[in-house]
Amino acid sequence: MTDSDASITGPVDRTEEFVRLLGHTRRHRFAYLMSLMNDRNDVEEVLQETDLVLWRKFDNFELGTNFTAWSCRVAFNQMRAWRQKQHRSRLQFSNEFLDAVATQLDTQTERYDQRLETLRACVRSLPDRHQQLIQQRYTDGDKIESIAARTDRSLDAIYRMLSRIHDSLRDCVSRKMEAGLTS
Amino acid sequence: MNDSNQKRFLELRDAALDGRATQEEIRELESIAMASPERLREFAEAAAIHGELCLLGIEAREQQPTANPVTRETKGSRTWRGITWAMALAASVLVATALWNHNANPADSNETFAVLETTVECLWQTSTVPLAEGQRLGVGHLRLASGFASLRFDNETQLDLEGPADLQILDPMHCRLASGTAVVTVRDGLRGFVVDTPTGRLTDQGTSFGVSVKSDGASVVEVFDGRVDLEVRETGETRSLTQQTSAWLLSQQILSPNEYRLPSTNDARRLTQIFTSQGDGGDVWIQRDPENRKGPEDLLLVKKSDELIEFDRQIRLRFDFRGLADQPIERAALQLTAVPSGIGFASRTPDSTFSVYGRSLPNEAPPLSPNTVPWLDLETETSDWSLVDRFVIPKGSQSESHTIESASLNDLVNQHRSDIIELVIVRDTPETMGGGLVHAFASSRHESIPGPTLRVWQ
Repeated sequence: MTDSDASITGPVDRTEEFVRLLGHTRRHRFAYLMSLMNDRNDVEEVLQETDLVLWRKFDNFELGTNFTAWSCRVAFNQMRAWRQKQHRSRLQFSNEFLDAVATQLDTQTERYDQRLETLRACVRSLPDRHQQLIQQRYTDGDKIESIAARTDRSLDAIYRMLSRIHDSLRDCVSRKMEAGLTS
Repeated sequence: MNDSNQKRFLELRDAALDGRATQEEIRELESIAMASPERLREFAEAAAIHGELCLLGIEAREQQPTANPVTRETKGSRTWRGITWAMALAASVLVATALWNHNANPADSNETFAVLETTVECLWQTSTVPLAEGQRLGVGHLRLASGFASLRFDNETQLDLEGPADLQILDPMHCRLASGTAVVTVRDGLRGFVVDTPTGRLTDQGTSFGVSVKSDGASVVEVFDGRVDLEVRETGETRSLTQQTSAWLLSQQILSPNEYRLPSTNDARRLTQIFTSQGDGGDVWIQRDPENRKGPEDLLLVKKSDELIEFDRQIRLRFDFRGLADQPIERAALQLTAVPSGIGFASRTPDSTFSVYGRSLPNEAPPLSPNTVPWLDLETETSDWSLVDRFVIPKGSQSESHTIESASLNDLVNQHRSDIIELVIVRDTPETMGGGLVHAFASSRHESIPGPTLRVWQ
């Protein structure tokens, strides 16, 4: 399913359409925010704020255009506002840096579903032990320390392996997405 | 591009995405990346992959068959520590492959698979799903301030929610109860309905059970009929409960009721009630147009217009904490009592969401008077105000009591417990048609109804 499927094709109730678009694209906003924030709970908090703002501003959304791109932009603004409102001091990027990174990320919202499916395929094409590491890190949510301990490897070795896997996945996704565009 | 610079960039990039970079390293990373469009793009691409892997990992986990014995063993067993890399690989490749091969259908999160069957005196806090009785529901988040709501899934599972409660619906077989009480009943033959709590996971094996998540996250589970599997999140310990038995699911273990000692409720915590009429506190409502700030003093009015914004109103409260014992505040709750304003028509006003923002009072702040307090535009003025919480007043409700409690409120009062804190209450929901209701709460000058009260427990 591509994001274009989330566009309006005929007269439908706006509330129903909003609920449909919101549900369909929520995973995109989640991945988008996880790219910019480290803590899943923080991301969930910003996502909830974003949902409310999207509903309030839905009249401003031009039906038929890219809802994912629009909603990610709203999510980004909500993240900025959320960061400002945090009393607790925490490690964070500067606004300028996040702006610059978000501008780059915005270019990827066009075919988000396809990207995710491509990434899933790229993970499947990894060597078994790399798949296992990705599974432990991202599905089981294991800490690097515990992965290192139970595999008798050093922390650095696990970091390096994950780094190589990330780069390999990045290349794989770029290659396949480009091939998809030209085929 | 210098090799050692690139190596350093990659180290910093990975550390930042992994959440283990120091603030100094983050600054260094920014400085390297911002100096080169190529590196900035490289960072953004890596960040995108990281975010997408997080999403796919979570989706895979939520699709994970919880009764899968391989998974349960791997999560629960401490023997992993001694297993070599090769053996670990052999044991889990099948599981990993199965999960990542799963083709999560993106349409799933879009579809409805339950109905909000019954609501009894429900007072909802913010929710990501529509809340009318009979409403179809899909993935979403329900925060029930009070009342009773019954959800019926298409697979015939019934989930009764007793407020106050916080429930996330994750898919047709999976919910997360962050607080409050739920009773789950599945139809004969259905197994595997999962309820996550802050301390673990309950997997229904064909049964009816109740679960209540207490304020410290501990859950008490009672099986009425059939069987429920319990799993402790941190240790992986599992236990099956059969009918007419109950247990406490704690962060590290499962205890039977006679083994568990309830935290003392009549402990030494001291309750202090702080009113806006105390010390340098106060409460006023203001209208956006300063020429039009005339109206009742015993009420606090709040409204958001759609077009005639000069009629917008907001509420400002001040609570003077000076004189409070200098001990940490464990819990704080703001109490507001709604009263009919007599302005506008409730039937022309939808369910309305209100936001409460807070800050400590700056030294140069003017006295709290309708004539001196400037209108606060939170769209632009966010620097020192932080969101405390949101709450919803349902259509037609004008006389309820509202209690606002949140971690943010606790943080705010704790940070400024020997100071004065200021709260602003705004309505987020705009008027959708002319003649909409102006909402009101009793002020400290109301002759019979208590005004805004902040209760703190130390």
